[in-house]
Amino acid sequence: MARQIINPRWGNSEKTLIIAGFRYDNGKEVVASITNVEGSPPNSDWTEIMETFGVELLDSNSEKTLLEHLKRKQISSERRAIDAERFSREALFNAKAEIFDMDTVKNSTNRELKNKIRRATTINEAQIYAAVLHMLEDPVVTRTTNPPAEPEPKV
Amino acid sequence: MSSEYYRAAIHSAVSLKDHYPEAKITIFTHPEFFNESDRKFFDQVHLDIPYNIRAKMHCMSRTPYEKTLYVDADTEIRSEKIKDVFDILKDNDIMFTRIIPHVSNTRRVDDNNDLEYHGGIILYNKKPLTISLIKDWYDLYQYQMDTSWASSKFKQYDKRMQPWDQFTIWYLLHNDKKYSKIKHDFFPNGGVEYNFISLLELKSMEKNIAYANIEQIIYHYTLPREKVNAGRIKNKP
Repeated sequence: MARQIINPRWGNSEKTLIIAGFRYDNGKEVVASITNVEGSPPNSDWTEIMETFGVELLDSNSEKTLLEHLKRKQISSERRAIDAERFSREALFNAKAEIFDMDTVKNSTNRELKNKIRRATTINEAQIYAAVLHMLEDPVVTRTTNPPAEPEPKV
Repeated sequence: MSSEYYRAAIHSAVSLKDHYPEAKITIFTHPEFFNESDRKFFDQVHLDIPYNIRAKMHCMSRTPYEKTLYVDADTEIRSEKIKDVFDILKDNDIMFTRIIPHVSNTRRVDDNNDLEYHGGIILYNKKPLTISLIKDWYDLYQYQMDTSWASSKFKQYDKRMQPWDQFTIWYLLHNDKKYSKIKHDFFPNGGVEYNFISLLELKSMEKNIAYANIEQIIYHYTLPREKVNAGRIKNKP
């Protein structure tokens, strides 16, 4: 079956291994490793690649493939970093949304503290400001921390 | 169309009143979402709106105000400078913020044109021609979605435009002679501070360096993926 050899390049730095794609007439594609085994007759694919493409083209293909691989790796690593940061932002957002769903916070007129919650950069920071706001707004807490004054002693 | 956006709208309204207590806020939402105890956050509540993914344009055309700032629900007002937003309009009829390509999808209309108007924050007046434009925006969008692209009046443009309402407004402003006199423009400097997309905060995105010191007047986040469809109303006529 006729086949086309695609992008042959070196598979190791010693240049004793070639990686190439083979596309067959029936549309099937495979990637193969091609090498010569010591003491055996030369590999016919190896010979064909050397005659058709030559060492220089293999060198250039190898360099291109390596650069593309490094670029893909960098993009993937950047995407992972963005996803991780995005995930952590979403967690922070969810925490703030839950805080603002609490009636005490939603209905509070303490704009300064509400803004501190909005601008908090960590969940802990948001929770601390929410707690402070609760302490200031919740009548139960206010009563406990500011007990009614003792009656004046009679003279 | 989803209850999470309603919840976000409350959050946005509260944040606006915190920075601009005199601001007048009108919410357009569905009765399924509205909670009477939330009425205090708004000056007007309208519940008779179409069950349509782009009901926003229908609602925008019914503004009770001479000058209106349409704000997406998933936003938070973060600065008192919001008070000055209506001064920006000057003699324009409608103004948009500019799409920032690395944090929003870039969209090519054809070889010569890109969509540049962001639909999240829109400043406009109540002149009859402006309101007519917004009504046509809604109607034409329905046509855009309901008609086969190849047989539609848009067939010369990239088919990938079909889902985008920004394309519809672009088409009306650039191709409909009826609106040739509408004065439309970007917010100053593209309006990044009035539509600060939350992705611009990510330090892992190299291009964000240019936005590190921008004041955030309106912070525009994206609802977490798992929440976008929460409480969605389905199959309404």
